[in-house]
Amino acid sequence: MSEKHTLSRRDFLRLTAAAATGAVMAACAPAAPSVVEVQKEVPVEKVVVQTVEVEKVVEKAVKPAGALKISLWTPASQQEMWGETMYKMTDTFNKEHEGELYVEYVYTPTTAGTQMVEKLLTNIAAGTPPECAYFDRFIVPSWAAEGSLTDITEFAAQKGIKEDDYFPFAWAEATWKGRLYCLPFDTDDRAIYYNKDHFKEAGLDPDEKAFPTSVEEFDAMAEKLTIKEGPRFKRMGFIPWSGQGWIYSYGWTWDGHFYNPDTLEVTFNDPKIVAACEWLLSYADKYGMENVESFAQAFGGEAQQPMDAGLLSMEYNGDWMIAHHKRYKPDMNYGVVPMPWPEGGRAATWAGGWSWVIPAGAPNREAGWEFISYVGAPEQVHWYCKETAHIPTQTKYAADPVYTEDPHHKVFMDLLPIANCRPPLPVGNFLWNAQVEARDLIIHGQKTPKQAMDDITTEANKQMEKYL
Amino acid sequence: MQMVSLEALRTSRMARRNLFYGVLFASPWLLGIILFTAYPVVASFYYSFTEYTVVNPVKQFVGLSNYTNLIFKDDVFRRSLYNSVYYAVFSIPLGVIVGVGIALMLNMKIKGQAVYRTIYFLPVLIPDVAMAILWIWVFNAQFGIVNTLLWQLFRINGPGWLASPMWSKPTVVLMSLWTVGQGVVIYLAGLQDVPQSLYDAAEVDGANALQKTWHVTIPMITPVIFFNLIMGMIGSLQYFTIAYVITGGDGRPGQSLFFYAMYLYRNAFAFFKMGTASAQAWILFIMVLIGTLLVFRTSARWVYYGGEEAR
Repeated sequence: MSEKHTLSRRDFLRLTAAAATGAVMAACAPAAPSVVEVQKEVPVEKVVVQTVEVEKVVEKAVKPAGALKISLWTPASQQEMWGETMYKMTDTFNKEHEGELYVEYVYTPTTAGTQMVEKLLTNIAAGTPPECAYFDRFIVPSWAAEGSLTDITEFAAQKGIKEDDYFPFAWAEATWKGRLYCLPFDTDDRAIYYNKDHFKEAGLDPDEKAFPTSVEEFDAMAEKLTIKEGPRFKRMGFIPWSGQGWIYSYGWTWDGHFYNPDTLEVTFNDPKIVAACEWLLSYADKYGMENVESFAQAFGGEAQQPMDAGLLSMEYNGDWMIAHHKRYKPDMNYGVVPMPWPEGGRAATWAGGWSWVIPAGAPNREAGWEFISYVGAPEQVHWYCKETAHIPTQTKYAADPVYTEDPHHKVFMDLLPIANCRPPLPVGNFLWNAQVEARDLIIHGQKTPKQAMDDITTEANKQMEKYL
Repeated sequence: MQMVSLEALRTSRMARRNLFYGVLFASPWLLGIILFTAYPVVASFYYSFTEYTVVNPVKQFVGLSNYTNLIFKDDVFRRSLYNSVYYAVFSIPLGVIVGVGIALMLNMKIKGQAVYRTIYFLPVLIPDVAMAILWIWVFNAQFGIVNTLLWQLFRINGPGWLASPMWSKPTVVLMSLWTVGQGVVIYLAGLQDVPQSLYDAAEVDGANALQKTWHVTIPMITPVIFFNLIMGMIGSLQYFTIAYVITGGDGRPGQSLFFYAMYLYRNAFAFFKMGTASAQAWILFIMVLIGTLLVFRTSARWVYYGGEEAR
């Protein structure tokens, strides 16, 4: 080999290595966690699965000269129904306040399958938060106890906003130690959706009135609805952990108590909650966890919802799915009923919902309040809830007949008075993630239900010590 | 370049000016390393002994309890550590063997050599996030191409891959081979440095191709293998992006893909536990340090530097 040849090859290699380094560095950039919100199971309230498509081009209203610019940070992407509606609300606000205020709509995804927003957290710490943020209400006490939200008790009092206007659970989640930290926005609750055509195929009575209330009958139905081809499922009757099937959901159906409201003690190891977890595990054992998980891998994304795709006959999910099915599968013939319960359990549901906050240290709190009191006002809440099939948190407006017009939504409205809410404690955020994690560990046989619930209880009560 | 003695520095105006300009021109880098590397390193060391929630500026000193809680009481910590070590133990040797193998093949003088080399390097250029999403579909148990092919070609019912706690870690180890091209480029550079004279001598002694590879090529590229081994160890213990994207951050199924760095990230940015997260970072640093030192200690026995005198 000639000297010259060797040299040029080395040069080539050096260049390649340099290019590689460059490429790797470039590759690192988009790997920042904020973009990573891609494939995950359905999180708390809304389906937050991002499709990797190019952002829709939104005509950016030009900021008029002289208007004060503030920011709204929200995990509602404009590619999803809730974000679409929220953007329209913001846009209307901007048009009505032309020349005075301009709200910039900023999408900030949540962190690692939790309801926290990393970008918001770091910006509050740095003292540069936005004026407003859209916030999952059940973690408000967690953030408020850390002093990271603005106390809006006085603002609210000036506007005449008071506790009696709201559902008690919404108000409970919005306050910490008697002070108000967010303006409650919408709420929702949960029940069983079932595909009536699948019922007919399986020879089951599709009528709502004939739907069993005992969980044993329900389990038998789920088995009947399941279609298997060799080792693979073609359709499953019910997967307890799809949709909104969290430990919270079944714990309440089994009549368990997650905490003691008087002593603020966490009681996840309530025998009834453990029994609910045993029931979850029974599905994993009966159908074979690996087969179910393989089957469920095909779910995901707002448009690949398993019921829409005909892969699942029954699902525990929230009322907003009515709007979802209307858009993505308008011809689906389905019914809604409360989740059946075991002996000693009861018809139960739980309510969540979102809220508006002013992060601590925001530069223009008055302007922030201007916006959140606008979007939190009845007309806006009404409009949002109708568009996205949610329910206002103000009792007076929730009583509007518009919410019971749809027979499906009526089921949810009838359940609302008995709705539970997640423990409004500073460890609320921890508890949420802990029960998500515990469900995964239980159904994969990594922990027994008793062990998993004991572990959560011990850890949560230890964390609570500093707040009591 | 001229060496400037300390004495000369003190006296010569020219030298002082040179020093000033030297520091001035290096200052962007110096400032960068002080602000964005040195300060965070020192601060995280301090935070690791405190309870610090990020949003609340108060840092409560708690001594070693962050460390002791993690090591003795936290089973998620142990699980995530096990996952990361598992990944390192299998992906590094496999990466070295496959990497060297491919490099040897790509070093053969055949037509289209440059094309093959490019092809093996291409996967490295794909961003991790995009790749992770592709892998999700490739290994999908029901509709993925891997299981479909296994069934159609061999009538084998493929495993659940990423859906199974038993198979999920082997699956990500397999995925890691996809980007082996990074190492291949370095091995190839190493192969160019093997002196032709050694091959000629081996030929004279009657060595066949296999013997030449084993007794000439491999010993001569051990410094490159050594380098890749250390880089691999650091990289694989920090494994994060692909598993994060595939599992949506929670390490499903059954936390079998919950890696060390993911738990660290979660403690820091989802649970307000910056103190614990800092302690985790330092434990990781110490583990990497010990691992690297161990590899260094053994290197005298198996790494051969051509320029060195035989000892």
